[in-house]
Amino acid sequence: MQMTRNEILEKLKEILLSADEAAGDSIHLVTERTGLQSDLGLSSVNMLYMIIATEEVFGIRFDEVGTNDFKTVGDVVSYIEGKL
Amino acid sequence: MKWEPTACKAGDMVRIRLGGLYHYGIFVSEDEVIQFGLPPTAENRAAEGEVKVIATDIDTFACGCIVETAVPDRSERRRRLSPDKTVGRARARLGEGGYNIIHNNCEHFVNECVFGEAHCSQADDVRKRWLNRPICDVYLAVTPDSVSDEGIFPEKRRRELNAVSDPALRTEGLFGWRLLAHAAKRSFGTDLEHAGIRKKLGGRWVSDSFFFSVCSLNGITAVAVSNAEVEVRLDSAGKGAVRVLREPRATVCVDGKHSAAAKYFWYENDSSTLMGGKLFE
Repeated sequence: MQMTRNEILEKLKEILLSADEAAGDSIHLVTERTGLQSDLGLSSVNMLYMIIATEEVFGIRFDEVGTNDFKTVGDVVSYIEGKL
Repeated sequence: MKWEPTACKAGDMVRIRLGGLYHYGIFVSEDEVIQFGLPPTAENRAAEGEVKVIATDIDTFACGCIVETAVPDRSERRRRLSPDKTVGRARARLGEGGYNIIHNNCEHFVNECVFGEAHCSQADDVRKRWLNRPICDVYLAVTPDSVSDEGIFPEKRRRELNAVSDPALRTEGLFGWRLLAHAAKRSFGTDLEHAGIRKKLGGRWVSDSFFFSVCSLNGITAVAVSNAEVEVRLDSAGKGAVRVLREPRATVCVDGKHSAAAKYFWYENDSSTLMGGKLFE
């Protein structure tokens, strides 16, 4: 599956919105520089949700992934891009 | 399996709750709790390098939280390995790496030591939550002045839309169907050709793969797709969730079981973008 970074980001925003419906009105402000915990305040459960949903949506498997590996939305986009 | 804050014995599974997740270990003694990585507190995350199977004392494991001990039910007691074997398995893995938050974490580790089978109920529950999530996606677009009927599926629908004598209504119908095809692909990953699209006896078009509703009014077209009954209207007459689009101005009303979870997309140039609050009043 060939996707641009922007297409990956769009899909990821949907996942983030599904993880935290309260983020709905600010989802348009999310960029690759947005911090997952520092800006979006993702809890550990929502972080797990994001990773599992990403596996399902993009058909990839997260290997060798710890809780500390993704700081920003862009880190996740890069990881997905590398797996596609 | 029940969990209780009771005294633990060698070979017991123990856990602590950190935020919404649990950290697990195998209790050997007050001085030895074997676990896959330190409890994921902010300090530990910052300090920890590669996550490995380690032994710490009970205080380091607990990091100030209440320690709960597993109380297996009868079937789990039958399946579990002896405490000696459990401790032996845990100790044999000290120093092992390969941690993975989803596929090889602290819960997989303790289950493998106790039952001989790696398993993580937390990841399973989260995956179920994702797979059973409510979907209610609303696609909005400006209705164009003209639309080709090329590629409209099924043929019966194409003929039906082409038979509409009013050109404006025909365009609305064709565009609504095109937008539906886009929504089906984006939200449910399916082409209309594979979505079991058919016309019911009452004249209503339905899909076997998802529920949908199409509406056009005053130059705006809206399509809602959902995994439950859904209806979208471009007025505020109903009881559903109402949002007012700022520019172009339109009232969007979504009615259905999952309307509270509605996500809105703006469609333009054959692609759609998730909309944030700035486009609504």
